[in-house]
Amino acid sequence: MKTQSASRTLQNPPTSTAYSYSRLSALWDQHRQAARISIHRICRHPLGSVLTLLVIGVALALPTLLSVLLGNGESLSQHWSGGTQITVYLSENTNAQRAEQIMTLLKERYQLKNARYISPEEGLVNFERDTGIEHVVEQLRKNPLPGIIEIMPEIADLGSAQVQTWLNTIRQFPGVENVQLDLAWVNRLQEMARFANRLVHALALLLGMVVLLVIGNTIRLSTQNRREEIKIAKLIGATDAFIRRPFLYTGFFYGLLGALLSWLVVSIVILWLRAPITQLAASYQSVFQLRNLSFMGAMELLLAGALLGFAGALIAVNLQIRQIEPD
Amino acid sequence: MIELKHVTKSYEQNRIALSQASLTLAQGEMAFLTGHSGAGKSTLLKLIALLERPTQGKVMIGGVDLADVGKADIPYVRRRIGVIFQNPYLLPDRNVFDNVALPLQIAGWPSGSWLKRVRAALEKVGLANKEAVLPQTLSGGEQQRVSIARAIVNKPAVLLADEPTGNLDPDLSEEIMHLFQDFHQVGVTVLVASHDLRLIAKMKHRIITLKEGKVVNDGLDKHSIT
Repeated sequence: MKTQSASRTLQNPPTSTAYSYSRLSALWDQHRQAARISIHRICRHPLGSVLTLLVIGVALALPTLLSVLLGNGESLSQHWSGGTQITVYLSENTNAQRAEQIMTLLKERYQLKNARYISPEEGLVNFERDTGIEHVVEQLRKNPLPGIIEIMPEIADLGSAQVQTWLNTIRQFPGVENVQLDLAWVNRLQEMARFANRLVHALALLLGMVVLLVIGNTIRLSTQNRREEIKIAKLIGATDAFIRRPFLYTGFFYGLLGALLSWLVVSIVILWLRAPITQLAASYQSVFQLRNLSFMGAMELLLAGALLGFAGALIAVNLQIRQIEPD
Repeated sequence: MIELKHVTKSYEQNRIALSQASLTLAQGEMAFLTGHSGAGKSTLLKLIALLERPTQGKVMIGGVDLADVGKADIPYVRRRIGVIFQNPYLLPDRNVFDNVALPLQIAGWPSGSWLKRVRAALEKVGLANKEAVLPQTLSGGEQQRVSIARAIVNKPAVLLADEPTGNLDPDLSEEIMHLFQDFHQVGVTVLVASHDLRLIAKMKHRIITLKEGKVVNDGLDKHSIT
């Protein structure tokens, strides 16, 4: 309490000016000045600043690029697993009429997007068309293909326990020989995606640390170079917050500009990869196109960069500012 | 305005810089602090500016015991004290105007109010036409005057100077001392540490002499004009 009254007695309150001047606009004024000073400092050593920005830009670009590619991969694998069907193989003696009955039953019991009966004859025609091998039956004397029903459930995740139960139930149907859902590759793909996801996170964490350290070190050097200035400012009544402010803005701007740079790098790389990947997809009769970082993703990147820069500067400046006292 | 009561300051290895020193400066008073180097002049000023804390005794400014001023409040006390050193300590990358405006910026004055105050301060030290130049283009005497302008721009109640003329030739030194006298005449409490006895005798103000950390002579009766 005594301390407060001490400072109040000795304080020179800016409210005694002719200006109507609130604390808030004083703070705004000081922040504007600090931001201006920090931009001035960044611009005064262009080479050093650009090098720092490049390090930050590359460090942020790497995990960002990987996560964008991963996002593309995930959308692609979703597209594929969405197209996965369950194939119900009917037994040899199941005729078309029974097949229709089974199909109606399946439609009633489960929520299906689609169900289609393919008779042995139709299957053979398809087979001959797809493979280009004609007159197979004449050689085999008998159509070896069973009738099948292809169904596509509404449910997206075909790996779920629910779908597994369906398969087991359908397998028991009279007239059904077997039910197949090739989940192995879908599972494998999902595992790989999960692995890649973790890899990206680990990488993002490590490279985020790099950004933190690079900015922290830059700010530390900057406080060292400004020892005298800090001493003078303290001598004429600067609070720690006042001294810290320009350094924090510098860290913030470094982070933000570095993130902006990494956005640019990622966009260029994506653009560069787009043409060959589109061609590759086209060879698989797909119209897949590599997508760039979304707008929200870019905003997250900028935010992450700015926060990392701010945090790095805060740590560095707090460690330094206490050691620098006027003598 | 400034009061020291039995102040002792000892550093490590038992080096005693001040020993039971007491003195009182009334508001608006001007005094010189003299003595050989190492007599404790700088330490005394540092205690007042809160650059050091006393080992024993009490330091008070304007009725406030500095022992009650916590670390976080030090900046607010320093804003009421203008300090001048032998070295002007100007920021080399900012022009004269920005150097002088620094205390206003630090104290949170609106930037719109700086111009008038900085101009007034520079005019007082006779550098009204130099506001746009960088400090290193100025002479030593001019740089010291810029640092004085910076010390007074915030209209402090107390002005402390530690060997402010140490680097200057006699003519310039006298000019600077007259500047301090001008501030004293408008009501600022001024305490100047200097070992230039010839010069301070000429000024006809109170002279406090320190020897080995003790006040050995306080020329209140001989020289005081108030």
